[in-house]
Amino acid sequence: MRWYSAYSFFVGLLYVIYGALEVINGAVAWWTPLELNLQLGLPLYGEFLPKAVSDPFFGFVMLVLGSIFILGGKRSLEGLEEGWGPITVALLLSGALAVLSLLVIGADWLDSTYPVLFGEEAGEWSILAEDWALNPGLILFPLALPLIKVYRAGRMRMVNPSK
Amino acid sequence: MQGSRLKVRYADDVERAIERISTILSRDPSLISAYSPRWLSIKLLENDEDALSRLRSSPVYEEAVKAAEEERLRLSKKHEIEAEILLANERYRVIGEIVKVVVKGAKKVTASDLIDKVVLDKRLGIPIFFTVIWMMFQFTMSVSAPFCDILGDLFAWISGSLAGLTGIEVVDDLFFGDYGVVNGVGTILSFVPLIFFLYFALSILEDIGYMARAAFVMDRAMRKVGLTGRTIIPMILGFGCNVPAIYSTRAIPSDEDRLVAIITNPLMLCSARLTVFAMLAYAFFEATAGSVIVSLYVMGIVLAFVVALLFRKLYLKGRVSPFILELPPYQSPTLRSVFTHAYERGVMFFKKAGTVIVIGLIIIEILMHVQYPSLVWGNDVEGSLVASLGKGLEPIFRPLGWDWRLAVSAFFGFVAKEIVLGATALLYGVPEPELGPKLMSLYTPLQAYSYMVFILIYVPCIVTVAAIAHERGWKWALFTVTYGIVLAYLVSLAVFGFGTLIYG
Repeated sequence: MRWYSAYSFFVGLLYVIYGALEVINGAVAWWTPLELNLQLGLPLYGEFLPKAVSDPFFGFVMLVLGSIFILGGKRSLEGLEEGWGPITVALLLSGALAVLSLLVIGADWLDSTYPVLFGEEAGEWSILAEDWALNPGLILFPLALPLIKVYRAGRMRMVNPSK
Repeated sequence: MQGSRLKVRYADDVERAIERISTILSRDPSLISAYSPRWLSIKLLENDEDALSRLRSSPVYEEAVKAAEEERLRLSKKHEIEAEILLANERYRVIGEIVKVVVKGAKKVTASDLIDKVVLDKRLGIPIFFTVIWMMFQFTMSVSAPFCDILGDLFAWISGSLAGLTGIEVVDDLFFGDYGVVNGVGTILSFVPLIFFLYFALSILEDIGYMARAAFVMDRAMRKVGLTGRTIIPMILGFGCNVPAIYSTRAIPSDEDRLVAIITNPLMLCSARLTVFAMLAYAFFEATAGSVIVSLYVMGIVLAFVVALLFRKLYLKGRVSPFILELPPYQSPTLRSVFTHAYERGVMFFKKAGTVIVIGLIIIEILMHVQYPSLVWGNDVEGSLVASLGKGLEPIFRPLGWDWRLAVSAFFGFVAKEIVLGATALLYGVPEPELGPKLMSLYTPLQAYSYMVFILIYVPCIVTVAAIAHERGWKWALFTVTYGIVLAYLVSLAVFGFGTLIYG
């Protein structure tokens, strides 16, 4: 098995696991009177890293990303060109989710800080209390970055098919 | 040098269908002297309106049309796609075979082809579509929020600083008061970042070429509910504003498909309603506000599907026209065009909302001061004309958990949804920035969500109604208004009822 096939399976599995946790936590929090907080992260000052948020839609997105990574792993067993498409799409979407997370963190910080401009006290903001900072979509993306080698290798072959 | 005529040879079963219809058509000598029977047969199989009109005066018309219908059904059942799409596929197959023979060298596989294998995949296409839309709305809602808040607070500060500027009470109240023009303008301006971010995201998706893929991917699912894939473009435009979305349905060739697209488009959560939901969602749901908003978008889309399906089954019994589209290659978005488009839309929103909201709020403020039944000017809101209207409506909306003020806000929302927040603030006697905490002290998150559901579904704004009337006549405009109100009430009641059962 090529290294990128196994690695894409591994990364996809992580996305799927955290996605499932978020769907379960979110479904229980949103649609039932029960409380549930399933986590699979390193304990960090009272929080978890990564932290599975209670949002079924966020969880669904993670499941989709995980599925595409796993598809990339499966198809790349047949060759780089076969796996290039799903791995590229998974990298693009997971990258977009990571960038979105950073933008939201920045926006939340700005939202708590801007009252200072009007002579009021800034609101409380802590990166540990920020769900978007600890979300698996942001924490897992760096793990997916080695797969950029697959993207580059595939693009080189498209440009120079003889190589 | 003369070229030879190329006869496109289709698959055997398609050729048999063409042969059957050609044989019938050949019995009319005047018809086959004017048109090639093979060409006419193929057009009848494609259910081409123009071909049908040419055939109408022929004695073999009924028999040929009946045969074409039978063959169309048989081919559709066998190949599990519409006959028109089957014939288009066959033509592309023939083109592919010709290219193989005459073009030397291997066809380059492009990055777009490989990406499309995933994005257009039967199982992954729709989940990827929802993923992209979810990210787009999270970006719109969450990242724009601080800019909206900054602008709102800035104008509240300006209004507060100018309070009492002229010394004339009526003028000061009208311009610099808590519900005055300056605060009103500030409220509208505070939503411009939201609109800007929405159109920024939509423009990026358009520029990279994803919108065409979205239409293609959704076509399969949408056909099952009586909509064509072309409807996804007006639906996505409806997320900005229903008015241009309704006019964009002119691109749908079939009259029936266009009607279905028009009457379901008001169920798309437009940017005006987004401003109402943004405030309510952040007030009542905080960190999960983005996903609450997404749930409303999803609800609007699902209800559009349900209405389309019922409409097709009960009224329009025709079939959905096929959707054939050549996909452009993916490309990087041009930041300049994206920014320009988003900026133009933001300015348009400000101009439209500015005029409508300021005038609407002044009218509501007057109605809040005119007492009923004496019709004199006063400060008792509970005894005003607007309160009488609201109290008249209250029994209808009490099962939804509302009081008369929310009913009146919804009533004025018919003029323009952007008015709902301002009207609600006026009626509760608080400035708009304090409306969230005020409503939280009076209502539960379930009641807030039920209210949002009602605002999502009920009457589109007056400009949308006018657009529907312009495109399809007042009969369909009134139908859309009526079904919207009934559906909104029933769904809102169901949400509130089930929610109460679960949460108590």
